[in-house]
Amino acid sequence: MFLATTLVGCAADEDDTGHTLTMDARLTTGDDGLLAFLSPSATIATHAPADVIGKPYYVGVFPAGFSSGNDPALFQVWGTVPESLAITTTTTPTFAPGPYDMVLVVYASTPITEAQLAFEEIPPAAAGGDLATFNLSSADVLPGDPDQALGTIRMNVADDDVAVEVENRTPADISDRDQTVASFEHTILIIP
Amino acid sequence: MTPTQIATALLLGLGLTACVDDPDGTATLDVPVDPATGLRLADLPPVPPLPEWPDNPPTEAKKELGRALFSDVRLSGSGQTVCGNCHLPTSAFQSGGPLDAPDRSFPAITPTLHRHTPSMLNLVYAPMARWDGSHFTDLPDMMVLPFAEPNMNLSMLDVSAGEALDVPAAQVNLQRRLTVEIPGYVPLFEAAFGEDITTLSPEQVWRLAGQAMAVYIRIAVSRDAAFDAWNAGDDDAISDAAKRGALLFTGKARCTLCHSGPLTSDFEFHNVSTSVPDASGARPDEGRFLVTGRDEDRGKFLTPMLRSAARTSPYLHDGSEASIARVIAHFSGPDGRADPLNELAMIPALTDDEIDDLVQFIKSLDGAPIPLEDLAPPTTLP
Repeated sequence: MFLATTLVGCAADEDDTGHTLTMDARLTTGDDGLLAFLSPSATIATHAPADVIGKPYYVGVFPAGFSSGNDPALFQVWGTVPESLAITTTTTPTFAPGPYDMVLVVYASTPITEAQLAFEEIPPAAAGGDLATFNLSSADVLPGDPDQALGTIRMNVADDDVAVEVENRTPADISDRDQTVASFEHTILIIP
Repeated sequence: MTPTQIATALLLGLGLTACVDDPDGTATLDVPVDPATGLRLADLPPVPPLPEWPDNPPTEAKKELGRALFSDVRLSGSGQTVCGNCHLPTSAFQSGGPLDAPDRSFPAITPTLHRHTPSMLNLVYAPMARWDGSHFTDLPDMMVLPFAEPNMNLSMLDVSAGEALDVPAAQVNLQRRLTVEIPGYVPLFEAAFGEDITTLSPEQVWRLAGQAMAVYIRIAVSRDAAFDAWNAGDDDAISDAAKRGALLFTGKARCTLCHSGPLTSDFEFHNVSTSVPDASGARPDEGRFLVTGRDEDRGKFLTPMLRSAARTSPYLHDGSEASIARVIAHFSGPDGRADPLNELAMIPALTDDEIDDLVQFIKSLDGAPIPLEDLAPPTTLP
């Protein structure tokens, strides 16, 4: 049973002389009351809000271009999706200037173990029905920086704290390529 | 790998260990380049140039046709998936998930396939593919085969059929989609192959589609890694940890028993205790046995290629391990001996530091980036 009803987190570096990263993730229902998501193949699938509320989510910050599963997080936190469907995560103020990759995964389908919640094991890969951040373009990757890892949002720290918004974007007309491509920016996808 | 090959490789591994005078695996990192090979570690040569295909010369028209076929949702059974759904070009041509839910999954999101989607990187060189080697004849046939499986489900298979395959039905359906339902493909095939696919048999259209997709997948190459630079003599190309890992990989840890050659695979099938039998003797997945019917092949799976493996988590045939370190720990620990048919007896126990070094070495096998314009979906579809 998932017990972490309050946020728990950790940061590898407790030095608080750096900047914070904030991800403001919002899940918005459509007129039909459902949460619609793009899949990687540009199809749309839905969840009822009840399928998502109360489910565990994971937010992690990694070195830019990290190797998923093989590089430790610089900051990570677990939580549960609230009824407001708004997930806002702010890291510790420990991030020096430079590029980072930030990920949100909502485990709507995949069960999470106590060991994973306790950071004794790394979170599982998102699987069918789970939700994850995604950004199609590489516009946020600055020249010379590593490629953006799959399922992440690039966060470039310079002189200030950094904040980004992501939401479950879907095109009004999925046959409109421009609309669809735009919906893949700073979005939350469903894993098919 | 035959017993003779294993014995030979074992001897080579021991020999290399002796050469670097490294009885405990903490090797000196000053490995000279062998003038004969131009390499420090001859077991891991660089990836060769792309193969030439006299019977299917690569052209831009074929590549772009293949890209369209790889990316066109209308070619799937339900009209809701593409090859890139599981083989994401921007994710080393795999999905990052343990098990993928293919075409048959919508609108429900189960069931998933029962094996992890392998990366397609360097598939263009591979003499064998698929976890159990099933249905492998050549690259064009393999590229188009998923249209006949539940993956793309152009055969409109009953979901309850599991891993069924209906190639003839898929061939008929593919030709109809390419000629009748989406006739814009006809001139693309004409431009690529000089053939009017409205006059060809379903089998012939199937083959041409596979050939175009094979040309497209030539973009999926992992080569020119930092390790290759070090192996050719650049002392500063990789970290000391990666160097130690490379020497462990080819020496004490004996990884090159199976992960050898430019592609880091022997393209053979091995039992490494990843599908262990229960009390009744049944395995969750019998692996290669399902193809050959030979008892000695139970629980065997194809040796995966390791170039850019740091980009292809999770690992193993069922996607059950999230990190390279856990995979290595499995191989070198008691879990790796859990299957009575396991082939890991010669792999020694490794310390956590040694495992870390091996992970750093495998990370150094990351290939040079593939140009983004190659990874992009087609700008337009016919």
